[in-house]
Amino acid sequence: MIEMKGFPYTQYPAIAYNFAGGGCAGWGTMCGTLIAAGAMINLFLPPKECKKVYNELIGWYCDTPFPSKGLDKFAKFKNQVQTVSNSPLCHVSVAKWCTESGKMLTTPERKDRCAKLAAEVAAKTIELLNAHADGTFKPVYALPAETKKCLSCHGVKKSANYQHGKMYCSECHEPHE
Amino acid sequence: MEQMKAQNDQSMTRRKALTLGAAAIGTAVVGTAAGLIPSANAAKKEAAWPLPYVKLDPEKALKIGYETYFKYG
Repeated sequence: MIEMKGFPYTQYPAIAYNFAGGGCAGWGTMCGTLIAAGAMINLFLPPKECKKVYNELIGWYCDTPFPSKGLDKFAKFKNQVQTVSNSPLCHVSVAKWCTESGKMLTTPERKDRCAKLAAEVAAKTIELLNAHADGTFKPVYALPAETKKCLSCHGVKKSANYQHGKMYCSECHEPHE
Repeated sequence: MEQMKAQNDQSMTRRKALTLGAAAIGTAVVGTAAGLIPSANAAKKEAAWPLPYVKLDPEKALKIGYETYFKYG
């Protein structure tokens, strides 16, 4: 955008997302790539449109096997194990991959995996923004059936103890009747 | 000359401070860190939100995003 538009992008501090690495200062919360991507989408789209596109990106992140083989052409580690996080959380995403691959958090293989993931999120963000610019953006992400079922009782105003959220409930909660 | 050196030093400090995937996204979408150092003239302008978007190349972002992760991580 700097090359194509110059100002105001010349003023935009990418350092603003320094905090988001490791799921925000290493807390393992929302994957930092999604935080920065959300901020990018929010730069270009008004609130209602931003939420639609961002929701699509987060849903895609949860359901996509990472890292993609498509980056093997320039990646250090090729043909890495792929895992689906079922979650936008850094902790869950990384832990699942580390467990499946046998490569721990501090290994260069794990860093390569997260570098690929960051690249893929950047590319997907651009794909979604491009589609929105073309007028062809259509949301395809659907709430998991499991989550829908849980929210049918625990959703907003459905019970005294209502919850909000879109994540897979069984990642953290035991199912019950 | 001194001012240029100071600006370069500041630029390098910022570059080093950019970390991990989050910085990679910002850099891949908006541009390179080198282009983020404000100039005096540009600072006087005002930007209206939402900012104008022009279509970008996702394939290019893949490479920039991947490399940025290591460059600033």
